[in-house]
Amino acid sequence: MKKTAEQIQGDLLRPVLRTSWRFPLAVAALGIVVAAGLSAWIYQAYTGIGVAGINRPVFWGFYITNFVFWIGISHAGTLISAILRLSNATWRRPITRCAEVITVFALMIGAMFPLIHLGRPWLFFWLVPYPSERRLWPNYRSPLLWDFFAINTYLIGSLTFLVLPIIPDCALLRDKCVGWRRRVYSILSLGWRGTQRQWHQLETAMHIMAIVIIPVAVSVHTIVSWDFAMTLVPMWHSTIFAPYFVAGAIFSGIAALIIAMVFLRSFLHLEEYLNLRCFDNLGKLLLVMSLLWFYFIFAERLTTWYGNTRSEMDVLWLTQRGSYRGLFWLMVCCNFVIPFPLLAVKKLRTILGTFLASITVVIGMWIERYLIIVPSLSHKFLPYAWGNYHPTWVEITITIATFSGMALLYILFSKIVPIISVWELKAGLRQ
Amino acid sequence: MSHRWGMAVDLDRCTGCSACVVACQAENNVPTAGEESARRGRAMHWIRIERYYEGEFPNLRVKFQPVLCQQCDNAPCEPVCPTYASYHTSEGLNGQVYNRCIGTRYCANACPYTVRTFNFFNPAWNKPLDLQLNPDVSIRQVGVMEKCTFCVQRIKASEIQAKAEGRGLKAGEPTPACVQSCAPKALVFGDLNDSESEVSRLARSQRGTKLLTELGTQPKITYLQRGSWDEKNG
Amino acid sequence: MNSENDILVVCSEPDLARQSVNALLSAGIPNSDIILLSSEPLEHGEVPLQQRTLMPWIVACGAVGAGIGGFLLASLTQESYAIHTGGMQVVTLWADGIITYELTMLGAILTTGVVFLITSALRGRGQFPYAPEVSDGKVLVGAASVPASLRNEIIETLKRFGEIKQGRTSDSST
Repeated sequence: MKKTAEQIQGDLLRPVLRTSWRFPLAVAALGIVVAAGLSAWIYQAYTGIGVAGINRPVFWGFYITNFVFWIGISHAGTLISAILRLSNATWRRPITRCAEVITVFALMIGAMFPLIHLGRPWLFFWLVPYPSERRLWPNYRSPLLWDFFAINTYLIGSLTFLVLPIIPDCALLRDKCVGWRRRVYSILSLGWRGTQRQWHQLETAMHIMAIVIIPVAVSVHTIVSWDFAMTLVPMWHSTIFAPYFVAGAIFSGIAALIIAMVFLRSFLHLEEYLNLRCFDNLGKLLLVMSLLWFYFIFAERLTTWYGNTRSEMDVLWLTQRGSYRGLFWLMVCCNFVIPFPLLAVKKLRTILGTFLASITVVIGMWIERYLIIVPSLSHKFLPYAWGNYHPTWVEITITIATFSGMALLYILFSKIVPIISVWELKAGLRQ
Repeated sequence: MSHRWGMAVDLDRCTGCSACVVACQAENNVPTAGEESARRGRAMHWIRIERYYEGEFPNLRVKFQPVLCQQCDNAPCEPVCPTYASYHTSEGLNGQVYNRCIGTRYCANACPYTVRTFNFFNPAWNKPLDLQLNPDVSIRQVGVMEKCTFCVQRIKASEIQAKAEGRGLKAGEPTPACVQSCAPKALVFGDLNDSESEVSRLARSQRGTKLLTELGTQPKITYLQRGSWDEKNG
Repeated sequence: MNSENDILVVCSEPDLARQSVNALLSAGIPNSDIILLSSEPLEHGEVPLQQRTLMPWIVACGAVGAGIGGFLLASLTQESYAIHTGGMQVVTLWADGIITYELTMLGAILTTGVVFLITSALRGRGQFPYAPEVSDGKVLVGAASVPASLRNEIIETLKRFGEIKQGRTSDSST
């Protein structure tokens, strides 16, 4: 059923203008979990990083897993918003803002983890290049510095990419609201009037941002992968890490987007906008990324296995046959075996099908990050330095709290700003 | 000419007595991790004795291998530190500046020998060990990485003393704590830039190998042993 | 803009807007004095108003400037306090290249944001007429600062396309 512009406006503004009883309940429940995570972090900062499960030799565990995972999730927005915008795919219109929001919040959460995992987190600002009294600047040869620059650039870029098209919708809300809300939205809309010149500036800016944000996003997860690939650790020192991580990021990002869309459409009654066509197209993209993921992991493991060097083979067998085999084969099931039929068979590629596939993909990708980091560190070169890793309640609590935090931020955002871009949808009507 | 400090470890002399481990702990204020932490893999020893068994009973052979920071020339732990806490000194040592360390633990992951230890909590010494702390060595806070420094405090003290007295370094000075305490004299320390020093002579020995040379780290510790690990010549 | 002498017509459809713009152009109103307010962007072909922007060039300059700045930051600060690590040179082109690249992109992003804010948002307040009809889906077309001699002619031209609004609209952005 083709909707008119007024109907679209009404439907999309309704979640912002009207609040059901479920909203404060959800905020409270998620807020409690986030508070628990925050307390765990404060406890850790006060007592010492030793309350986490890391040890010698596994010096990086859950926190870096989460870091890579959330930065990976943040690639949702870039793909959907920027690439589909540049290729003029019309089905992207309802989902661009959903995706861009995931990017911004996932980046913020991911960027917290380098702070959480530091031994002396109060000194994190030493990574910022500023003229200090120690006459010491940060070490630009370190991949962690590249991380700092890349993640900050991507964060600022995706914030810009998100905020710019929100301005016309804030202007819309300014006109539709009264009282204190009107004042808030008029500040947020920054003097937007809708003149031809303003629209032209906005579209030019969005076009530039779409072009710029894609190489930034590719570089961000490449640089995150180089945190590992620049070392000599067995099965880390691989050139495949850069494209492998980027592909994995887009993979998990699309899955996260699908999950977010399913919740949005049922809670906010946006079924007609986040419809089967969107899920069908995203499902096909997810299928392509699942195949790509399988290709990368196969290529990486085949090369390692064929090369047959001692230390790398030890780690390879550790994941495939040794103590990590349960997680490894679960990961393969979650990332490929289960999603493949659900997404490849047209009859199964329904909204429920893509939702289930996305859940398994998110779980599988988290396990994949864990299996990249921990087995290699636990089994480096010298046998006397081998060890095991077990997470503690602190790490588990903080991990769960980040998922809650993501959901909470998402819910709060959809209450303040329409989660589907009103002006873009209305503009799409006339095409 | 400046110095280039190196070490030779004679595995045929090492008895595994671990006096070097104790001496290092005493000299460098290495914290006691405690039984619980040690069980979790957080022992803090800067030098460890690795023990390898060879052969079958009754032809059993035990080899002891002290592993400490190899002070690599191409140290993989150095470029990855974002705050320059791990860096290369002009005398060829891999320096660790405790004040610069913010605890990313990247260096420990990058080190192929896993010789770096981390302060997971603020260090504590059971009484009366707190009375024997060495005033020449600073105590590290929680979140700071540490490792063998070749007893840089002793190296610096010797150099300063020699300069004050207007002479060069005497034979046998400086001596790290582990070298000083080694009864069978398995550990030898000295200046690799001095081709006549004992450590240079041993570094050129036929019995000499280095750990993990295939990685290209260029370690400065030479391990001396009569035969390869796999030789079955008793 | 937004003076006593503005004349605006409230068109209910973009088609009417196009016709009214054509009428204004043929009545001799210059391009820069034509006001067009809408709730979604009107495509280029729809309304024959030229739009030019220097934004891409400014962004390119900002990006290049930030890139050069980034390279200088990395290389000069490393040289100023040369600390050797891992057998590498002190100033490495690989690593400094990455920093330069990221700062180039950051420069492009920030310049885009700043240029947009300055040209559209900050200068927009008070300069453009505030028209709540736009949020109802109407398109407002008009002429700015019409001299008294032409007022009647313009009003007559625009009357066919919709309701006329004259003068200074409420500047209340609140």
